[in-house]
Amino acid sequence: MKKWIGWIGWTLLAIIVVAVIVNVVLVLRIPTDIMEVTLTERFNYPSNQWVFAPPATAERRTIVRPSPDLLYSLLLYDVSNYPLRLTAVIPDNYWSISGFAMNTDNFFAINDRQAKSTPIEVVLVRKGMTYQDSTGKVRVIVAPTDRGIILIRTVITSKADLPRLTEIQKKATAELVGAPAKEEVTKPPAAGGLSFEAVEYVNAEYGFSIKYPAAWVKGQPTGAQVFSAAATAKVPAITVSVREAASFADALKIGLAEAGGSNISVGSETQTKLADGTEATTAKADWTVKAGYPGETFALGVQKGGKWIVATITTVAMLVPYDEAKFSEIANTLQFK
Amino acid sequence: MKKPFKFLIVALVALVVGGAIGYFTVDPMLNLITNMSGVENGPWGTSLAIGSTSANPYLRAWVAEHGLLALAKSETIYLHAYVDDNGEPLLGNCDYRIEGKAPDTRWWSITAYGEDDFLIPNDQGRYSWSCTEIKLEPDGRFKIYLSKTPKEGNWLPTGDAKELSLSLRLYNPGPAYYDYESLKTVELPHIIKEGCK
Repeated sequence: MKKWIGWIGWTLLAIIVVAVIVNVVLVLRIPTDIMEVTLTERFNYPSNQWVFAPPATAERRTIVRPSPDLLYSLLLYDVSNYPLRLTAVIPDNYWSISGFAMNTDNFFAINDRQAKSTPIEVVLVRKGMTYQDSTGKVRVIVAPTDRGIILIRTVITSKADLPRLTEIQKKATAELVGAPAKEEVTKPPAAGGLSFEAVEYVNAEYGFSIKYPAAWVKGQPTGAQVFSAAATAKVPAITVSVREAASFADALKIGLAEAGGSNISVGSETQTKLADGTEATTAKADWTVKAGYPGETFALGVQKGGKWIVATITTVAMLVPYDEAKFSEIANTLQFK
Repeated sequence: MKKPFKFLIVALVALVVGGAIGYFTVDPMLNLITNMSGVENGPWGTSLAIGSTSANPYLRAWVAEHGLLALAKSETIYLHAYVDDNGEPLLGNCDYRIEGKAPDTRWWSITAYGEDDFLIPNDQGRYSWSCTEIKLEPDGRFKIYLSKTPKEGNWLPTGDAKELSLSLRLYNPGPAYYDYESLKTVELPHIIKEGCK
């Protein structure tokens, strides 16, 4: 009997020890896991580039408990190879720049009063990295982790002041110090005279094909879409839809609304001819994408057998600028047998 | 029963039962330890270690889940309220009056959130009131009406949210907010239930 009581005691003790170890290990992992997901899935923006977010709304659900009274500029830093030089123009009201390590610690914050002068210049270095500042004006910050997030907060004093503050917000810059300049190699024209390396999507059912940049990744078409693909940063993205609609503009609007868009405005239409002689219509659409950001779309439509075949190339300008020449070039590769 | 077999049984039971207890107690422990390491003043609560390198692992994990990218107290103090002045949960089917004097801080705001910690959809696009736009009473105090239905004055709509919470943000606050003891007694806005439907 005594032996059994002893075994039960040891079992309870072992349960407590395991429970404590599991609990502590999980708790220690939560901050870094959430930051990793935030960097790679929620944001998934190119590193060391500013992203200028519009004010938070109920529809923009990226970070919990956002402040709707602040303009956020966000940068996913990576200083594993080079120091990162950041500059920002400071408005005449509350403003701060702050850094968050991969364990979520806020490792620095400088507000407008502490900055003293504008524009402010901050250089972020990793542990063990040095940066020589000859001007004495640069604030050199050592990042506890090689990757993390830099955030600029600007108080929105009033809706009327928002355009001015947005202009100031967008003056922030970021550059890796000492990194070799991006190669400006003049590539020979890709096959078919295109300015980009292309792959082709062929749709046998409706008898058309379209080319798109080879680096883009095919996605899962939804609704009336028959094809979708996107750059790794999620934009630009191409879709091809086939639907019945009274007009090209209607087909385009329905497609953007199906994608979760709102505030859709389609600009003036232009008639054009594809390389194979097919009559087509093009237009630019401005709208709000599902995540709440302003989207811009170049669209090309062809009416075949009572249906509209519409190719769209969409971007969110604050992530990747709208490039009408390239988007038009992609859309105009649409061809029919 | 032979000893090695008994050890095996103990180990298996400990791994399964202990692992499950460890896993399912993560959130309750986060809330418990965050509350224990924090400070309360009426319905408002916070920890002055939010965002800082001195935060304990449980507070750090709680912040990651409920307030990612929060600034340290040197810059901002975040106070949260999930209950009213009587300690009852804030509910979407009730009307509340938030009243008090403007905090001693450079800039402040009160924001309402739904049970998912996101802003509450509403036709007015009104999610908060800040010191730059709130209408003050003649005596310099303010009143905010947290309600689903329209109210005169500083109305903070709650849309279709079932459970509510509030955040009071204090940017560059005065010294009374930096210290645990004085933060317990400094005047913070009251949250008074006016009625429920």
